[in-house]
Amino acid sequence: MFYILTLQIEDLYAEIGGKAVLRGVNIELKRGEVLALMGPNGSGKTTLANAVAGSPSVIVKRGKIVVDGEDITGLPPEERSLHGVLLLFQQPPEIPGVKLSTLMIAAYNKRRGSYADLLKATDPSLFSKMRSSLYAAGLNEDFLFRDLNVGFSGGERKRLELAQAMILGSKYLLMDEPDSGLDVEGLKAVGSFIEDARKEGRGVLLITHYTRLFSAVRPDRIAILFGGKVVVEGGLEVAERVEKEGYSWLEGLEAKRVEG
Amino acid sequence: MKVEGKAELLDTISSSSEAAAFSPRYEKAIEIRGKVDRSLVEEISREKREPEWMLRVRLKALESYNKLPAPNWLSGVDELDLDELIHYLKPDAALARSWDDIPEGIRRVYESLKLPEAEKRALAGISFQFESETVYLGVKRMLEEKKVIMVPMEEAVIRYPDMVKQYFSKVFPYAEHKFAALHTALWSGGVFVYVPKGVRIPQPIEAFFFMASALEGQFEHTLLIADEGSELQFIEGCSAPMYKRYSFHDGMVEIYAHKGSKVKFVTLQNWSGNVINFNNKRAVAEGGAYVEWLEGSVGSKVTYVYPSTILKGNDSSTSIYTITISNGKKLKDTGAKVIAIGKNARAKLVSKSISANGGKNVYRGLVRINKGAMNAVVASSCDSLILDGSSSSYTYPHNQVEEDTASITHEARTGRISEEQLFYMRSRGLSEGEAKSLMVLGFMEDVLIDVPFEMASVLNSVVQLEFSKLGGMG
Amino acid sequence: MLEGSADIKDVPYQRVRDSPTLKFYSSWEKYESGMGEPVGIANPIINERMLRGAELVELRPDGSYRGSLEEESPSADLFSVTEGRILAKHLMSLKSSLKLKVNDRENRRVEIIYLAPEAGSSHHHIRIDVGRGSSAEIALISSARSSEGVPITTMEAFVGEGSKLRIWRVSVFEREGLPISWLRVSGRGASEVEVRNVLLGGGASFASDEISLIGSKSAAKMNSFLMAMEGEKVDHLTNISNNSPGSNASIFVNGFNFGGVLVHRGKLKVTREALESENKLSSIFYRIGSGSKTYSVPSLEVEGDFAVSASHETSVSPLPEIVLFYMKSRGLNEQESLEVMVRSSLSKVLEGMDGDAIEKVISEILLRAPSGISP
Repeated sequence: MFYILTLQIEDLYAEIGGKAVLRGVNIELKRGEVLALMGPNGSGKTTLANAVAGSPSVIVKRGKIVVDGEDITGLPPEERSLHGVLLLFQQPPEIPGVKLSTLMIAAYNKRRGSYADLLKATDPSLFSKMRSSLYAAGLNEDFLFRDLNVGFSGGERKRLELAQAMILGSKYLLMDEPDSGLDVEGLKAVGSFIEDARKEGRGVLLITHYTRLFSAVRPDRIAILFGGKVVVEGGLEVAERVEKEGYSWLEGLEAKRVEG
Repeated sequence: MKVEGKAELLDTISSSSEAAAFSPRYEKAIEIRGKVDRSLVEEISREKREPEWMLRVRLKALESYNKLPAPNWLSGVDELDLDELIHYLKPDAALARSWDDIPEGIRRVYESLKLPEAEKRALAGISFQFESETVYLGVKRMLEEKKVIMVPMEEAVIRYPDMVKQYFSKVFPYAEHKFAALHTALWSGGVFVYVPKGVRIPQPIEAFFFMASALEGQFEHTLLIADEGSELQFIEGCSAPMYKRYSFHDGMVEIYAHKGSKVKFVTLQNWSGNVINFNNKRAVAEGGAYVEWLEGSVGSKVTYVYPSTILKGNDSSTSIYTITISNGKKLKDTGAKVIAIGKNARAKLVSKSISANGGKNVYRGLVRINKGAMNAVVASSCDSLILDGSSSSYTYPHNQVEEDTASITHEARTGRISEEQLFYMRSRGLSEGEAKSLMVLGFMEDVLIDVPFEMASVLNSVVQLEFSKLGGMG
Repeated sequence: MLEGSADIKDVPYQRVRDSPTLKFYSSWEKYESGMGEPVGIANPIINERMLRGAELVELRPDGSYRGSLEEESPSADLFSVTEGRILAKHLMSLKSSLKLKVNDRENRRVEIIYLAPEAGSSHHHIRIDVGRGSSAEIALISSARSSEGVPITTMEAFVGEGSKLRIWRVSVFEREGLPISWLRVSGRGASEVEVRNVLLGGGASFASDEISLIGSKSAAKMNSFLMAMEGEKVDHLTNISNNSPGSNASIFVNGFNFGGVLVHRGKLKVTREALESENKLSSIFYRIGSGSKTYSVPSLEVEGDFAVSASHETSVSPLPEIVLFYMKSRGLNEQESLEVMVRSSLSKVLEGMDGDAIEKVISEILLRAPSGISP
């Protein structure tokens, strides 16, 4: 069977805490493509990322999520992850008692189907991969053995998300504000990671509130989520307009495509 | 004005006036029906060919048992029928006849733990053919060379009467409470260990594999004497699930650590879900001695165990680590007791408990510093993890300080796994059960570090099984 | 007379023993032998008004009252004669109940002065009903010089939605006094209940405070200062039963033991209804001098994984070296350092009360504390 390798979000309606947030979102993310998603605070960007990853606090009322031709809409979060969708959290939680190395070994083993001994580190190359990923994300290798995110600054948590994305190669990446809390060096690291991801043929949904990230990496397309829908899609000129005018020009706009 | 909320308030009220600090409220209370006959005790003593003095101890204990009231801080899930228990006092009643007798869930667990056949059979209680396994002969020889005595308790009564008389029922006197008295009257099986002066045994002795039959009993009595300057690590039980045919267990461990000795006593218990388990454990530490208790409880339906140390001599110290897991409708009522008498006593108490799927954990601590126990320092912590809405955790630490120069600290934290944490781990590909088991292992880490390596990996696997796919034991 | 069981002597002091080593933490026998017809009126230690501008009520040893509150026939909703013998005897001896009703959106401040008998026992019961959206501040002040009497109070309060109740209990006794006081509060949704205690001395003074929270977003705060000299005993109980979603329950106890007996039992019970609640108990006991006995039993009962946090911590120790050193490095000697610690602890408890009265309590304390700290 022939199908295009994409992550399709079709006409998605979703609620959080009884409140409707997504009202018919349509997005197509191709492999090897970087799609930036912008929008004002509260527009539902994080809700969308969480909905795709299968967060139990987001209730999908209508619509579908299809990964490489497979409908994952009803699947639990771990299966979506194993299907190749990885969410980099906007606010990664603290997990006391669980070290990064433990979680990575377990996740790695799951992906190789070794369910029997989830915690056995059988692949020696895994440790060097973990170390080099931490290094590339700008973190000391001690982070491998520290309790996940416990006492970490915002920037450190974001870097750790990045390192995890490097360790667990996934087909599609949902990056929720990967640049917040990072300095210029950090921004560069994020940028070069996304560039590598694109070259490797991974699809990246890059959620960001500000445009400064685009100085480090040029997205293929930019979409804006407003009022629960994607209302604009285009090239860099979309970002330029947001930079100059903010989001007020989107009031009352019908969903339309602005060719750039 | 109508008073709503009165029921809740009265709940707090009556439980507080019931000295709630020491009694949670459960639905039913244990009723100990049936008398234990003097003739039964005499028969047991006769079968073991015991000397007169041991029979006298048993009979005195029986008197105490009949006089003492049922402990009113206890409640069990079922009533205990003592007449039924007597059926299990015959030696081979503890053995299952074949694999068919073992519940399927337990058999499956053994498969997944990948234990060698002989171990599986022993754990299942089908055979006790262990003592002859070559692997353990080397250790046995070493013990003999160092003149360490390790024999079944009955044998010690006959071969080393003076030593036994000196300590038996003196560390934990039978008159203290009803179950201690019952135990002393009916005791059978258990291990006697004597480590001579200055002898240090470097590796942990996994008593289960040596003395499987001795440790299989319902009322086993273990007496461990560490002479001056000696060192011993004793491991009782096994973290792999064990099927028991009887439903009531009332064992006792007495440890006497002489000057400068070090004793580490490790119990990991994962008994089948039909067992009501009582364990009376106490150690006396003389000057400069160190006693460590590590108590891990995964299985059984109800467990009551409070490892205790009496810091008798100056500069004596103790650590009591407890790990309790109640996965399923179980009750774990555990804790630790320290009584400081000598000067410069040190104690560290760490308790980690996890309850899930309707499990109930109760922690009862007693830290008592007598007047004169100068400069005693005791630090105790008690952390509980409650994994769902139907499970619960109760903590009752009693700190009684009667010495001016002592310092006691205690802290307790009851936590949970949040939705956000679970989702985070699942978004990396772990199922809910796998995520929970990782967090449970992380939670127990500071105590797990202390578990001898041999047991740690099995305990690890057991925890993962408990909380991921296979779920709890039957 | 309250109805109750006919045979009080069949009611045990408590139904369950307190610990494997100590049968009862409370001195029930002492209280029972001190009970009987009240004799005389003991001289109070605190004569100053503590709540400026508050309505004044006086409770007298013979069971009578003076003041603006209503008297009615005795009834107690939150207390039962089956709980224990001493409480049963007290309830059966009540001649009347005092009622304080705070209407919706009303604010009231009441200072209740309890005069103790010189010998024998006295009995009072107070019922407080706080409407909705209202606030009430009540101070119960009881003090006595050389009294062997057993002054007993039971107080029950019902706090309506959106209301605030703050209760102070200031109990200052000398070595012979045997005061007993029970307080139970039931708080409805979005209410704030605060109970503050200053408990000084007494041969055995018993103060038990229990708050039950229902309805959402309520708050219960307890803050107590305890002090016992040689020959004195303070026996304090602080329990909160939290059934309120989004609530906050906190208990803080600070005790200074100068050779006497301090007992504190505190229980935080967090039920399945207390979703996303935060619960904390913290008790710190310092022992100064010699001969002290301190018993600290903080308990936690948590049902289900609904609360955000539930924790407790306690410590029993001599004055911490590092704290003393820090203050000495600022030029204070040991006595002055102790005074600073006592003051800062007391001021948190008595905040909101009249400045002169607070000073009077502090000086009473410092009079008692022996000069020099090291044994």
